[in-house]
Parts: sequence; C-alpha cells; structure tokens
Amino acid sequence: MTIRRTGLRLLLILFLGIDVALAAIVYSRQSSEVALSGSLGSTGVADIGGPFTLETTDGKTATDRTYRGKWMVVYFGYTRCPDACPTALSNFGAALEKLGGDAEKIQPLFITVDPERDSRQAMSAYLESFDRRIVGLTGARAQIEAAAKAYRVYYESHKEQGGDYLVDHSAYFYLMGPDGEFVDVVEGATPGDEIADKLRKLMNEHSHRS
Amino acid sequence: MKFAIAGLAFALGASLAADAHADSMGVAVEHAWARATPRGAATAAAYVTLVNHGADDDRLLSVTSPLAERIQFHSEMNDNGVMKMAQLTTVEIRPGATVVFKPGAMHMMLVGLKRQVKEGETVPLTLTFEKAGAIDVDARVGKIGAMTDPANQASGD
Repeated sequence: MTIRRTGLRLLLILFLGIDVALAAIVYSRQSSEVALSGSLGSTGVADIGGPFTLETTDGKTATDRTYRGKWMVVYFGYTRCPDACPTALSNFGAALEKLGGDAEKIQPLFITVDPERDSRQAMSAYLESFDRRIVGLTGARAQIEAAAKAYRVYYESHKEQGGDYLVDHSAYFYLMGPDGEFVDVVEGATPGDEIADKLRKLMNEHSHRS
Repeated sequence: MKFAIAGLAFALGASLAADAHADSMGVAVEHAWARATPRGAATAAAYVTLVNHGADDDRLLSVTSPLAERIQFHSEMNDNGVMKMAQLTTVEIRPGATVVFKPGAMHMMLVGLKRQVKEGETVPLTLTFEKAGAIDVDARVGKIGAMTDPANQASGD
C-alpha cells in the first residue's frame, strides 16, 4: 500500500512536475501539524528559501547572501542518518562529477537538522567522503529552525528514543538561482545523472533569460 | 546444522558467503550487503533479503556484528517527501514470503560503529530468527551510497 502510494506520488511528480511537488510539501506541512509555524498563506515559488544565518564547518558565518552569484543546492539532513542522506549525498556527488566545469557555478550546502550531535568536525569529515565541494552548515537550534522554516522543511527529532534517536526530515534538494530565488526542487533519491541534467538545463535557461 | 553451513561458508570465503544460508526448509538470508561509510560516520547501513522456504512463519529477532555496538532495523517511508523511519522490534517472514531490505525502504542501522566500513571488505552479521536460530552472513560492502548489492553490479544484473 505504502509502496504503491509512494510510486504513484513519484509518477505524479514526474508527469505533472514541480507543482505537485510543491503541493506535496505544503500538504505535508499541513497534514503533520508541523512544529514550524511558517506562513502557509501563499504557495508561490518565492515562498521557499529566504534569510538564514548559520556557520560553516570551518567556523565562518554563512548567510543566504554569502553564495549569491552561484546556484545554491540546499539539502537538510544529519550525519547519523543511516539511509536517506547517504543516498542523497552520493547522488549529488555523482551529479557534480557529471557537471564537470559547470559544477563551479554551484554551491552545494548540507544543513544539519541534528546540531546537538553533528559536530563541525564530524560534518566536515563526513561530507568530504561524498564531495569536498559540499559545505556543511550548522548553528544553534534556533538558527537551524529559522533556516528550516525559510525552506519549509519539516523535521522531527525523536529524542524519546534515547541517544540513538532518529530524525525524520524532508529529503529534497532545493535549487536556488544565482539571485537567491527558488527555482526547483529535486528528490534526494534522484540519480546523479538526472540531477546533473536538470541543473544544466536550468542553468542554460537562466543564462538565456538574463 | 545452521552452524555447520555457516562454518563451511566461512571456510570457503566470501564468494560462497554471498549465496543463501539456510536450512533447506527454513529462512534463507540472501544478498547481504552494506554501504561503505563516510569518514567519521557513527552509523552504517546494511541490507539483506530474507526468504522463507518453510511452511511456518518465522521472525527476525535481532542482528549483531562485531563492527557495531548495536544493530536496529528500521522501516522507512517517504511521506510526501519526508523520510520517516520507525524502529522495528521484529520482522515477520511468512511462509513463501521474501522480505527485501533496500535503500529507501527497510534497512538495518549499525549503531556505535567501531571503525570505518570500506568498499570491498565484508561485514560479518549474525541474524537471529525465532525458529531458524542464528544465521551468520558476510555482507559485501559496496560504495558509499550504493543502491544495490555490489555482487549484482559485478555480474551485470
């Protein structure tokens, strides 16, 4: 049942494109009584993304403006995530490889949803194993919450499980244009080749427009 | 009997360990594999396929490995883009059923990893079933983020 539903949803996203994906995000936030009380008033594209202030794993302050001029690809996850994050990050590593020189126009960001357990050192070592270009961002819980709220990301730490707790989280890459505007969203489980093709297409369209 | 089979497989090395381990009429553990871990990772993921060739229900009760303090098994569900996991206490395998652990779905999480898991090695796992007892397998380790059993890729499946 679940598999069928998930499969159907994937098909819908494939065929109907981003509108469905966006609707799904909004639906998810509404249906699961999300702790993040972001405004759901408008579902316009511009609602995803916005200001954040975090810290890189080497201790520098990073805001949404730090990477202007590049395509930001933002993923929220945590290093103890056993399955979904390694899938997404290795897909993205493969996408960067495939993009070759075009990868220079991209700044991949991994924002931890588990700042209590993800030390900067652990994140840095972890991310390097996928691709050195992925920058890890962390911060105080309130800063992470603000970033998640800006990106309309849902996450929930199951601390009732004790020290080995799991964290449920949205598993999307948010693709933000060089001006910081939200452009598209890609599921973390998307193969690297497809992510690369999509990014290349979007970058081409964007350069023709501007 | 199970110990004899596990012992034989061990003696013959990982290539045989790749194949099924079981009593002919019980649960078989196939396609045991794991992902290499990023540097400094505290957890690892392993995957198996369980096939019940017997006439009775069986249940996976626990999994252990010398490489981890504990191993949990999780269901995982993509709920409108949110990956939600739940820890399972047991996994039931009905007669004739095949239960597949795979990325994006049910998986084993090795917690308290004692060292980095590297591509090309094997991770010993002991799966304990209610009826089939303990079955030892060596999980082949694929790349970080690998999506399938590395043995499948090698043979072009």
